[in-house]
Amino acid sequence: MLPIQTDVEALLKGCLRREPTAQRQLVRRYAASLLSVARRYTRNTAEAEDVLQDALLLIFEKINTYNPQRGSLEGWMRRVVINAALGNRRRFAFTREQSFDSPPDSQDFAPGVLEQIGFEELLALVNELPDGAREVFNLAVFDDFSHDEIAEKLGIAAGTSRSLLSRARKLLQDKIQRLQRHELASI
Amino acid sequence: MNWQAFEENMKKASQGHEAPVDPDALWEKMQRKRRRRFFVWWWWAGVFLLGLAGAGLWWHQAGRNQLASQRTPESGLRQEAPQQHPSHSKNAKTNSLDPKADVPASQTTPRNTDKSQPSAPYLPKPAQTEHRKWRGHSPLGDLAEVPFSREKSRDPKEGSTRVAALEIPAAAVLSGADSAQLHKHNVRIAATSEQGAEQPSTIKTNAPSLPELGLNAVESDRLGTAYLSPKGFVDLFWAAPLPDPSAQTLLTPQLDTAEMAQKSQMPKDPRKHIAWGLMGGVYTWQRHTPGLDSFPYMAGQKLEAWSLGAICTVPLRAAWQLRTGVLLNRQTSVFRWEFSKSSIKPRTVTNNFLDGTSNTSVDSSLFVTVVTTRKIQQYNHVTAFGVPVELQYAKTFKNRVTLLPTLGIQGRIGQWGKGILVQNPVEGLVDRSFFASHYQKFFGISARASVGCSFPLGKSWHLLLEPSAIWDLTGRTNAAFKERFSQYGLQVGVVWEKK
Repeated sequence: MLPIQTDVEALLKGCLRREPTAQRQLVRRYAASLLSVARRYTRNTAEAEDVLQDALLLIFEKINTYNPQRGSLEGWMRRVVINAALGNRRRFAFTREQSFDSPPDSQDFAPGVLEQIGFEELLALVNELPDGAREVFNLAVFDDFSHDEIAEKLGIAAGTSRSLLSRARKLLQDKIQRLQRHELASI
Repeated sequence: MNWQAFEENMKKASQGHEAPVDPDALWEKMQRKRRRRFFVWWWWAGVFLLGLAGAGLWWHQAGRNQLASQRTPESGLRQEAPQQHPSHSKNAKTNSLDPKADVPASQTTPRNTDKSQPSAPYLPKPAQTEHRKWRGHSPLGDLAEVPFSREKSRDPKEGSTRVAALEIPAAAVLSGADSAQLHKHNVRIAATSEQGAEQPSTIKTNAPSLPELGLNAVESDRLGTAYLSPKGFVDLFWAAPLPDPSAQTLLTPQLDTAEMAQKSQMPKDPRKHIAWGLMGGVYTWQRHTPGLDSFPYMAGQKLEAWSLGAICTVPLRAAWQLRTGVLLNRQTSVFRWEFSKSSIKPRTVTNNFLDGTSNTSVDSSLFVTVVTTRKIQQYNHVTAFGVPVELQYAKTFKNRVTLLPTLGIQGRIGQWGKGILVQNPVEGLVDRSFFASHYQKFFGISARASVGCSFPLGKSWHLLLEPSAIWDLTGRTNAAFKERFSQYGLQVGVVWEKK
């Protein structure tokens, strides 16, 4: 078993020299967190692993384009994984803007409901969202992309991105409320 | 908690979230994917090249048909069907040179003596008389001489060679009728079609470095690509007579330089005759034991080997040669040590017999200590005759030193003896082996690799220095004992070659 190398700089240098040992250490160090990212953008674990493999191969190939002054290595790799995941999915045909009423903040939850939802449960709920809404929600909420960036990545209008985010929030809130009702009923 | 705070919490949770994954399994899958992509890439590259070649052939064939349809009797071009050229068909089938024809056409056979007919394509006068035999076509036809002959103008007479070439950058050479100075770097994809009244069994030599076989072919087509520069060219050409009655094609990769052309010093085969020699070597060796350890192997023993034998080298095509011979190889491992044994012996013994019983009394003040030292020699001797068959590539530098990377296998048949010899002061040297005269015969296959250097010693002799390695591929035939050896050392030899 190879020791996990903690020195990111040395790891980066090794990967720049295309050393298999360094590449393997990079995989060992970041695979779990990157798979978590890939998992959010895919329907199942197998697809997420496939995306992650493609992304890691791309990372090894393009690691010379990484600029440490523009952000952390992990952040850069997360973006590569996101791009790979988005590229892996079918291209959405957002031909018209969609609008949704009522801002999501108006939803009422019983006190303590949101606190009780674990992250894994939430991921499962997010995964049930329609593809477009799910991806916009992931990009906007988890990965902090602006609507302009999302629009550029997904090839849609920024307004569409906002609408999809609103829709995703609403759907998610509905799901949480249904979950809440189901739990209350089961008591 | 409101929704906004909830999303913030989700975001924070996602930052540190890790999905369960086996990184090592993931790495293995990535490697498999990487290898698969590599093969897919090459597969598509192959498809692309085949497509390119096919398109070029089709394009060239179309052009050739067009040329044939445009020919008139006044053009002087003979357009004869293959069956009208028995020599063509015959020679195309053999696709080899008449040895007697290894002279320039211009010196022996006039190309076209019929003055009523337009002359054949430009045939420059050979600059040298030394020619290399080619088992194929000149790769670029008449155009191939351009970087070497440096002629600004060529015989404007209409030739029978039609050349269609695409060059990057586009050089002025687009037809065989005229030539121009090439650019410094040129890449050419060219298809040539040749039809002419060449005499059978002749060679025409457009440039000293590029002797073009007449190949006795009145028709031949070529397709290929080449990089040309004033210093030389590298090309890969496919050539075939069309129509091709023998269904033979030739792929002729070759490398040449302008310097060779000017000096007419084609790379010569380092060995033109069978060379004979003696070779010996000294080695150290290692033992590899996948099976039981029957080998009396101890730290500190000397693992030595030597070999001696006769070799012969047979020239193959180009710079390749085959080496074989018979070598006696002897591996020894000898471990010597001294074994001392102390014993206390009484100097004086007094026996007293009392009432029929026996008793012995010893005067303890008279004890002495005796030390007996034995010299023990534990040995293994592996003696084998080997017949190596090795492929060598000979690259000569400055006409002096020839580098000889060599790879081959050898069969070994031999005998293994092992035992223990003990020398003590009383008995002298005695064989104390558990199994006296323990010998075992064996047969095995070994791989051999070496990088030799050959230095000329006078006119016909060469000195050979050769770092060498030998690995046993098989162990002993006894299933229980599968020891294999590897042997590393320096081989020295002298080789005689008839000049």
